[in-house]
Amino acid sequence: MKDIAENEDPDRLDPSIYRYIIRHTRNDQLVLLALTLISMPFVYLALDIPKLIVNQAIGGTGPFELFGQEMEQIPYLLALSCVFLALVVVNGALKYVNNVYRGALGERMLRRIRYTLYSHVLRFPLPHFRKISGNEVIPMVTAETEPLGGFIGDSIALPLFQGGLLITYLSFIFVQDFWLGIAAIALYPPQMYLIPKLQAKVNALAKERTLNVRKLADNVGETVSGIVDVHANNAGFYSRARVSQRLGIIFDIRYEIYKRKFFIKFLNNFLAQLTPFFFYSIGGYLVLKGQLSLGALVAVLAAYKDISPPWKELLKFYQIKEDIKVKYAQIIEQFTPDGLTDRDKVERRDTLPAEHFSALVANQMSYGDPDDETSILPSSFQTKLDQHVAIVSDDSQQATYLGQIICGLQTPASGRIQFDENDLNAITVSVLGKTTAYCDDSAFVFKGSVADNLMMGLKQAPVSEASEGSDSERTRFIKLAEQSGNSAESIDDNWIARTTSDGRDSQLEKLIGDTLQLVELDGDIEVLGLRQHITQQSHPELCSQIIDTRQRLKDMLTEDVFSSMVEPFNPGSFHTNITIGENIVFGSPVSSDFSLENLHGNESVKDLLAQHDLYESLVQIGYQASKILLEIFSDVPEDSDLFEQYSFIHADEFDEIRRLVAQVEETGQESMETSERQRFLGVAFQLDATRHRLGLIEDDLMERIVSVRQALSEKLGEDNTEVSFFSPEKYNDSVSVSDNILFGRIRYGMGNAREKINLAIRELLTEVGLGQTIIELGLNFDTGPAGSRLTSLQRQKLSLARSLLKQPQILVINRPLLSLDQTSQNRIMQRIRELRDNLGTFVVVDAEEDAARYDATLRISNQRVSIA
Amino acid sequence: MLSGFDDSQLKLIAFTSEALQFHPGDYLFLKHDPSDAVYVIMDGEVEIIISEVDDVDNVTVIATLGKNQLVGEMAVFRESPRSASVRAKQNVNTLKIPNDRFLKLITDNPQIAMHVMRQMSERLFDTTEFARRSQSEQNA
Repeated sequence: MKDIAENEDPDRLDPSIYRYIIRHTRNDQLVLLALTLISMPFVYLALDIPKLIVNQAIGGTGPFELFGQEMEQIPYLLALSCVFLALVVVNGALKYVNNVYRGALGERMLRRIRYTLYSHVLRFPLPHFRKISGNEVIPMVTAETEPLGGFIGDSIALPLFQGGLLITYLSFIFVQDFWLGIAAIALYPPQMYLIPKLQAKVNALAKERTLNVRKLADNVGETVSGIVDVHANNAGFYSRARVSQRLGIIFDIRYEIYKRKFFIKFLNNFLAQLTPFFFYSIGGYLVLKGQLSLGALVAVLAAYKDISPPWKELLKFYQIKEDIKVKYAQIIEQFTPDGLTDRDKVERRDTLPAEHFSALVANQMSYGDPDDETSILPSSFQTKLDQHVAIVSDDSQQATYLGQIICGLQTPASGRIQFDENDLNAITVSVLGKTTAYCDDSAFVFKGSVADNLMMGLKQAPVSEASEGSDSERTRFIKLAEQSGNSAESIDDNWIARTTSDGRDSQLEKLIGDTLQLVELDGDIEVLGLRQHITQQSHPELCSQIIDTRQRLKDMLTEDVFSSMVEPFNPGSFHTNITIGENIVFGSPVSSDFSLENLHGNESVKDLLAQHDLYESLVQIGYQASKILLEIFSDVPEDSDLFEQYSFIHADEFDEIRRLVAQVEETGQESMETSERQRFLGVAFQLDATRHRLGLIEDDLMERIVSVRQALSEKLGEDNTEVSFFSPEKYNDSVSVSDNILFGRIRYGMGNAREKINLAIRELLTEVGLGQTIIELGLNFDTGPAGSRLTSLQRQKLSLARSLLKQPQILVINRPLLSLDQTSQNRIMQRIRELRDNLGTFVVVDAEEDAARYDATLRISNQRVSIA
Repeated sequence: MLSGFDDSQLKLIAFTSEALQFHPGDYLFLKHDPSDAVYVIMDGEVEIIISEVDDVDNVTVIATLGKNQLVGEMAVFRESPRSASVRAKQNVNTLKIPNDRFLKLITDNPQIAMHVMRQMSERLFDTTEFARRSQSEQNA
């Protein structure tokens, strides 16, 4: 094993932003400097030509000489005008090239700095994450770096360019008249003295503002993460007050900054306006005395008009530079914590040692602050790495630390911990990552598919290039990434070695299947697969196979059992387990006009209801249902969540419905306005015959609803884009795979029906050879942000499966399945024991008696570790 | 249990709970399941089984409950997973009341709380008797 080299870190964040800029952009800054210098003579000429035109071509008498050619006044005037035009074009072109180059440079550096910050996050020692908040780190990497990128492009070129322009214009004025030149710059010294003084206070305020904005981000982020607890504890008022206070502080700081910034601006403007006073008085005097030509004064005044923008730009640049200096200093302070892991250790890829490590050796190893009771005091122990070892401790935090130290995730404070003779601190992350795995109950599930999460540990390096995408695109991607010091590895490449070229790998599939089975996640994955939505376009063959399973499911369960649990969709009959609205549409709404919430406003539906003499009947039902519901909920406080949970009228509509019912009781139904009828129609559409059990839907009404359904189906036609109708012969793209197989609804009130049906569907799919396909669909299930679409137990099982799938030589299992009952946990742990025979497995156990089942025990007692 | 409610409360309970039927051998819930609701037995009998779900050879029934009795309330009070499985002995009709609704009913209606406490005391007595008998049989 090689030791990690002590070489210079190209990703280091220099203490000074200018040192960072020069280290990474020296050549680019030279190019910009060259471009700036090239443009200067053209700028000077563009100033001089108008003077020649006024004084000679218009005011003088010919003949004149230009480029060695003698010419008369009018050709001379036209030639000079053309030269002027050419200079305008050249100056504009140079400015364009300069701006684009500067912009690209800034963007490259922005990319570099963001990447560097992200890389630094990956190098933070684990304990540092207890001190920082993700909500504060995110704006630092994203929003706070944004102006840094823009500044870096301008950092040298802008002051050089604007300074160059200024010097050019000033030289021009000095050439015209020395004293006018002096007048032009007379007020620069006081500005150069006063502005830094004022700016220093603005800088301090800017620093305070940044810190407070980060705290605001933290407040908002915490509210989002803990939203359930905020609502559960009715902490909304307190949270709002806290944010309000923070916003107040930010307002005060910003107000102070504005006052000071605009005072600086006022001072600059005032001083800038004083200079023309000198020109008019001194210049006018000199013209009157005949010591200065009028043309020269006009040219000087024109030049002064041009001096003002570069000078203002320089002052603005100075203010931005100061602001950026503060931002940069604050960022590097946050991203260079003590104990930052060596870059080489994190990023160098070493090959795995030829043989497994045989022993874990700790020599006077300690962890944490000795005064902290969760720390580990210097301990020496040795254990073989081909056995299963229990970790027992009265303090679960100590057990966690020890487990993480064994995997190299935590660094001992003193002493050494080794795999054989190799100090863990000297082994690269690439080797540790392949050799070890650690999992506990807090395992994180990333946004992406289940498969992405499951195979995370297998993606150590790209094994082959992606077949899609052109070579030129790839070359460009690599070139740009390298120019910005970014990783040139593409996530589109194949990161997992597969045995076949078509991307499938039966060995890997089997390994995944076995692992899911071991942690008892296979059933969940199948259910997730059944919940997936697929389309006939993306999966034509599978959709057709699923239609074939519909009848087979009935055959499998026998017609009677199936009918007792499921009410199938029959286009010719009223469905008693869906709402009236759903019975009319009888399909999945593609357009929102046909959604249950909007259906009562749909003109086509209302017309059809009227044609079938159903409109008034449904309004009447809606009115009756509202009355009953008001009676049922009469004693329930208005803010009760019962409305949302059980009522088919939303809590915020309750008052309006109550008012309407009272009005109808008083004046009769005939007096109802169209909009009021529509409200009752909406209530009727939400009514479900079986679930709500209000006894308002009679047979005759059911028949008329089915007639409206058929009329709607004929009106819209089969190939419409608004409703995907339920059809026994067709796959419905808008509902899940499971719903397509079931083609009906589970009957209300049948205990265990859903479980029985799900089990039957899974058995059927296995029988027809679609089991693996559904698992693959399940593996593609989107886990949502932080795995929020999975249950906590599914997340824990996924994390354990991820660690096992990697097949590490050393695995630390720290109570990863806390959401599972003890018997099931024991069953899974027994399987792991059998699977990982002769592979180092450390298991944190709750009690001393549990440790007896293992080959050895690492016991933490009185903060010291010993082996037994 | 439901006799302590007036008409309007009964209507609300009926509307906000789920009427569920179970066939003989169906489980209302399994040991270690999350406790999401209590069940009022409207008709039929259920068995309380304390053995593990997958231990099919050694099913231990500790009690049988019938009409008007409440089942599943202990885990709801303890906010813990189910400590036993409950299986339908015959065709059973139940009213499934979600745990938050049930706790609200208890806190709002002292007479219902008393009724539940009485049932739980009887259940505790029966369980103690069961344990005592088991121990005697073992000793014998």
